[in-house]
Amino acid sequence: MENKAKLTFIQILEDNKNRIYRICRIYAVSPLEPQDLFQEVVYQIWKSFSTFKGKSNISTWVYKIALNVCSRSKMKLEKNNSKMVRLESIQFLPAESTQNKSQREKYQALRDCISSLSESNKSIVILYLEELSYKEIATITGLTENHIAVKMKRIRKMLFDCITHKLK
Amino acid sequence: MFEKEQKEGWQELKEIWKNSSQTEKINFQISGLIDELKDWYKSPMISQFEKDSIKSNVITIKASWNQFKGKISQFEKDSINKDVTKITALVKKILNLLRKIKTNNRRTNK
Repeated sequence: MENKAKLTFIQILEDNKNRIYRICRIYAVSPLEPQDLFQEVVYQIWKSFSTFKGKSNISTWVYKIALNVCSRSKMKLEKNNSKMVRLESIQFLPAESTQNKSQREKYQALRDCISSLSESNKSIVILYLEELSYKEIATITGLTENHIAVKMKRIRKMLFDCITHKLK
Repeated sequence: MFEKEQKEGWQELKEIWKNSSQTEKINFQISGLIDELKDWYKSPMISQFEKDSIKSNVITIKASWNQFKGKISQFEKDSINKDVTKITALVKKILNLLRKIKTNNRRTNK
């Protein structure tokens, strides 16, 4: 990898690390930790970096990879049944969260409720929470904008009912 | 009214979602990351401990080989050759036997 490409790759990671980590937190199921999934996503981005033609937006491309890697993680874990080795070049340092107790509870409920959705609905709602437009969600998921709109109407209701029930 | 409440609720959820990555600060060590990814590509499941252990075994084997290199007599070489031939013949016999059992099973199933 040339120096310029290296810098671009690192810049992509820096710009998208929080987005990737948010997705990994949803899909991580014990014994897999979000950090394991995160480095797998980083690895896949690195692997496909040379083939990225720039036809789509970089963040759209990153979302696509992150969702693919994370949704396949369960299958991979069942197949290998072992823990992944952590890369030393990626450090996760505990940070002081700005979230209060109520927000933490709401996040937990949101996370649980998203986890209970089907794979396809899970991806859609994650991208919706990331504030992507229906058009962008359609590009990533391969569905039509209309289909996304219809699905989102249902998912919103399902999630709202689920979260309300959990927070009771 | 309900729609307004839902809209506000979603806005709050979106903010909670955005802040959910703040629990950890992620740092990249640029200098080592690419090399580590290259190594990881080869085998993501092998730990550094295992890699070190394999390395040390290879060093020991190489050192031992240097000790014996050129000192193996023709008798020892012939003896090893005979053993290898016997083992190969035995493995072939077992494989043939397994093939026969498989064919017989197919015939009985038909």
